[in-house]
Parts: sequence; C-alpha cells; structure tokens
Amino acid sequence: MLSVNDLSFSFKKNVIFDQVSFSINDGELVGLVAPNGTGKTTLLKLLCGLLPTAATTLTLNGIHLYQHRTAYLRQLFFLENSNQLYADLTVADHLTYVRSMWHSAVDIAGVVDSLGMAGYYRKKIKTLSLGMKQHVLLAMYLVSDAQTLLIDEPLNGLDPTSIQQFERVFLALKQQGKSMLISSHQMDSVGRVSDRVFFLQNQTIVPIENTGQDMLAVYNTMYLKAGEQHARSV
Amino acid sequence: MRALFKVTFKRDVQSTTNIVIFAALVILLLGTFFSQTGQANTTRGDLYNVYVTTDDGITNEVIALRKVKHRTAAQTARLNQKLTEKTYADQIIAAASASPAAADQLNRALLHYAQYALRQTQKDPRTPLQLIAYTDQPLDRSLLGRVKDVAFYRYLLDHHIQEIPTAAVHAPAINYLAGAFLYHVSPFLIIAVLLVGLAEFFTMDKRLGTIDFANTLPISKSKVLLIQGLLTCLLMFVLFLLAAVAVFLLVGSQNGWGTWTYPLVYSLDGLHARIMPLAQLMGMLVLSIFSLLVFFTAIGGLISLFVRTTGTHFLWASALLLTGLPSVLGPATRLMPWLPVGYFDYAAVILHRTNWPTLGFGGGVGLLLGWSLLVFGGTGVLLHRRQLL
Repeated sequence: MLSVNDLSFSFKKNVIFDQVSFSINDGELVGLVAPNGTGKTTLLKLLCGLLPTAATTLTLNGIHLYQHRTAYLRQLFFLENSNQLYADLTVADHLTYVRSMWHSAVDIAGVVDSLGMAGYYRKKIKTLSLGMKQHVLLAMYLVSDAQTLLIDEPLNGLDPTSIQQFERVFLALKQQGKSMLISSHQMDSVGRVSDRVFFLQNQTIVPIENTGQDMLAVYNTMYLKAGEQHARSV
Repeated sequence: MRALFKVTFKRDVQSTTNIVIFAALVILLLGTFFSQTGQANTTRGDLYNVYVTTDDGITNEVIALRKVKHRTAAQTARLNQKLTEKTYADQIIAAASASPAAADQLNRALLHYAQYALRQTQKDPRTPLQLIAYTDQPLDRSLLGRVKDVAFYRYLLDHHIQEIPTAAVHAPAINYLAGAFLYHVSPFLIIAVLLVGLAEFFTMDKRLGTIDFANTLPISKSKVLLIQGLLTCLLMFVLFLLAAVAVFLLVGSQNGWGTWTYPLVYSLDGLHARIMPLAQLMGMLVLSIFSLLVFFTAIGGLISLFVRTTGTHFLWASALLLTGLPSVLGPATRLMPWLPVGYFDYAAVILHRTNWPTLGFGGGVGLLLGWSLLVFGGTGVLLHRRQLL
C-alpha cells in the first residue's frame, strides 16, 4: 500500500500541492486526471522521490522513502515517458536491464509476445515509432514486477486497438494485486479501468469513486465550469 | 550492478564523442609529423652542421687569439684550451663524416669531448667552453649539464645507439612519441581533450533527459556514479592508448620504429645524472595519464552533481586544470607537494624539471589516487544526503 501523508510542494512561490494525503491499496487502480500543467507528472515524481518531500510523507508497504530509499524504489516503477528511454540501446537491452535492476523473475519473452513486440525486440529505440515506444515502456513496467506502478499518460500515441490492449494489461495487473496510479486525458479509458479517480484541483486531490458514472461529465463539471466561471468573472 | 555496468558501457562505447576524442588526440600528437611531411630527412646533415658550427666557433677564437701579438698568460692558457677543444671537435667532425654505421666512433668522440668539458667545468665553472648547441634545446652551461652529457654519450656508446636529437626530422616512432609528449604537445592540452570526454559522459543523462531513470533505479546513487566514472575513465584511457598506438604505427611505418632503450638524461638531486630508457618513460607517461584521469574523473563526478551541460562541466574541470600551469601556480609553498595541482604537468614531474617541490613521480601518482579517493568519498557523502544524481 502506498501512503501519502501531508504532501506539500511548491515551485518557487507557486504552491502545487498543499497538505495532500491519500493512500492506494494493493490491487487498486487509481486514475489521475487534471488539465495540462496542473501537477500530474509532478505528483508522480514526488511519489518516487524525484522531487523533495518531507521525511515522513511517503510510505510504501511500511517502508519510508527517506529511511530506506533503495528498498522503497525496488517496490515501485516509474518512467515519465518514452523520451527517457536510451535511444541507442535496443528494446532487449531495456527489458533485461529492468529485469536485473528490479531483481524480477518475469519472463521477458512472454511479455514481448503478449504485447506483440517480437518484430522490434532487437531494434534500437531511436528507430521506433511513438506507439512502439509506449509498448516498450509498458513492457518495462511489466518486467520490473514492481508492486506499485506510477504511469504517466501511457495511452498517448496509441491506436484504439493498442488502447484496448493496454487496458487489458492494466486490469490483469490489478488482478495480480499491483497498485497503480495512472495519469491520463482519455476519460473513457479512465472510466473503464479505474477503481477511483484523483482529480487535481486547488492544490489538492479530489478523490471520486468510480461507480460507472460518465467520467468526462465529472471532468467537465470540475474543470470546464471553473473555467467558465473564471471567464465570466474576467 | 552487472546490468548497470553493461548498459552504461554500451551507451558510452556507442557515443560519437569517442571518435572526436580519439581524432583530437591523434591530430595533436601528429602535429610535428604533419609539419615535416614532404621535408627531406636532414637530421644527420643538421647534426653535422651543429658540429661544424661548434668547430667554427672554436677556430674563430683560435684565430683571434693567435692574432694577439703579445698574449697575456690568461690569453695563452685560453688559446691552449681552445686548441684542445679543436682537437676534440675535429675528431667529432671526422667521425660524423664517416658512414652512419660508425655510430660508436661518433659517440666515442662526443663522449671524449663531454668528459673534457666536464673536467674543465669541475676545475672552474666559469671556463668559457664552446659547447655543442643543438637546435630546439636550451644550452645548459651548468656542471650538471656536463655530467648529463657524459652520462648520455656513455650510454649511447655502451648500447651502440645513434644519437637522435629532439629536433630530428622524421624521427623514429619511439623517439617521435616521446618528443611529442615531453616537448611538443603540452600535457595540459592532452588532459583538456580528455576532460571534454569526461564532461560529455558525466552530463549525458542530464542533457538527454534520461537522468530520472537513473535516479529511480533501486540502487545506491553512489554506485551509479561510481560505475559511470569507472567506465568513463577507462574509456578515456583506452582512447588515449589507441591514439598513441595509432600515431606510433603511422610514424613507425614512415620513419622506422627506433629503440625502446634510447636514453633520456635527468637528475633527481641536481648533482648526479640518471638515465631513463624511453620504454620506462612511456610507462611513466601512461601511468601519469591514468592517475590524472582517475583524479579528474573523481572531480568530474562531483561537478556533475551541480551542472547540467557539457560546456559548464568542461569549464569547471578546465579551471581546475589551469591552476596547474606553472604561471598560475605562484610561489611554492610547503603545501605544494601535497596538492594535486603540482602534478598536472606530468612531463615536468617525470623529468624532475618542476620549479616547485614535489613528492616525485611515484609519490605524485599515489597522491593523485589518494585525492581521487577523498573526492569520491566526499561525493558519496553528498549523494547519500541528496539521494539524486
């Protein structure tokens, strides 16, 4: 379980998060939704220690980030986007690297086959399309076998078939007991896979249980109305 | 660790920076070779001219002294001295006029003159001797200079080696490389080229935006930096060796190979001369470059925590390098032997030509490695606190 307690973060004088607390249970998939520039990626970076937090803010399965950083990171996988892949290395290099660094026992060949990556498994990242790179990223998450997966906009650049494939993978991971926090702008997809959705608003998180409601409508209520009110006041 | 090593190695080896560093080193070391391209090999002729010039100098003095009708006792003594010098000089010219196979004959004549010059200088250091003035070499009139001459020519005679002056045209590969490292290419320039490589690899992840991946690896960040540093250092060292070998092969295929036993004369105490064969010199040069690379790798690792671009990294590292320039070092202090900056000019350290106190070659290598450990230890403490590369 990932526990976040009183998370605050400012960039210069701009407050991004103000005393945010939440937890994500094992086997729970949480969607992370907000307009661009609101702090989705910042939150994911905070959760894996790429940005500074207070010493007792983050706990993953009872392990504090600041006390046992390596043990904390071993249970977590996060790679912001496909630009952070090593352009001159192959897909195979990336997957074997992650498997070894995270001490995982996941069968790489099985992951490659299940994601339909066999055709470019030996190719260098720089030769791949955005969609292929997104598959590589997802494969790295799977190969890491980390308990907690923080995924930033995984559906970008994917065709509808791949989006459905990714959703099936997310649901399978949930079945395996993985905790996932997935940021996305694809509200229909968020509605299909999430147990809860975190909407970022006013430097805090508004958690909404997914009861099958129209997530796009919730989104519009939360952000577009605020935008209209802002426009009227101007 | 093995996987991290493998991935870092693969990324570093594939970088085009390696080609740039290799090419820059080769071009630097081949400077003299290029400047002599198309030039006739005049080394033996030039040497002969040097001997003739020496002989002419003596002859002119003899003529001038003979013209003095009423010579004083001092003038008579000087005339006798010059006549003796002329005897030696004539023997040198006679030996130099013979075929190149008569190297021993020429070395013997040169040794005899060097021994005479030493005896005269030991009697009176102010004795106005007509010394052989080689091109591109400062004329050393000191007693140590005479001691060195005797040691040098005795070694050449004993080992049947023909003299190859520093300014030789189309020098054999071994002499060429030694000359390039000691006299023609500044150590600071060679280190600066290697610093570009260090800067490039230490900032690669920050520049390419892949640093977050390294920062989320479930492994101590000191280990990540250590492996990056170790590989970068080894890669730069291998590039340096490859460049030296490439220059050696190119020059050797054109000018011949030379001999590893060719002597260099130096003094540890300013009184006695010692001989260093070029094989030993090359070994020391390689060890010097290696220890300097290790030191600058440790410094590079520390700098990389604070800068993001190759240019800024290089500027900081070069600023430290420049503090080792003799003109920047300033007056020698008691601390100097214990500071790494005193060992950046490896050519001066190896030949004991520094104007500042040092711990000698072995001490310098040990000191640089010791400082490297210290700097890396400090970087490790810093990384442990901030947890991010």
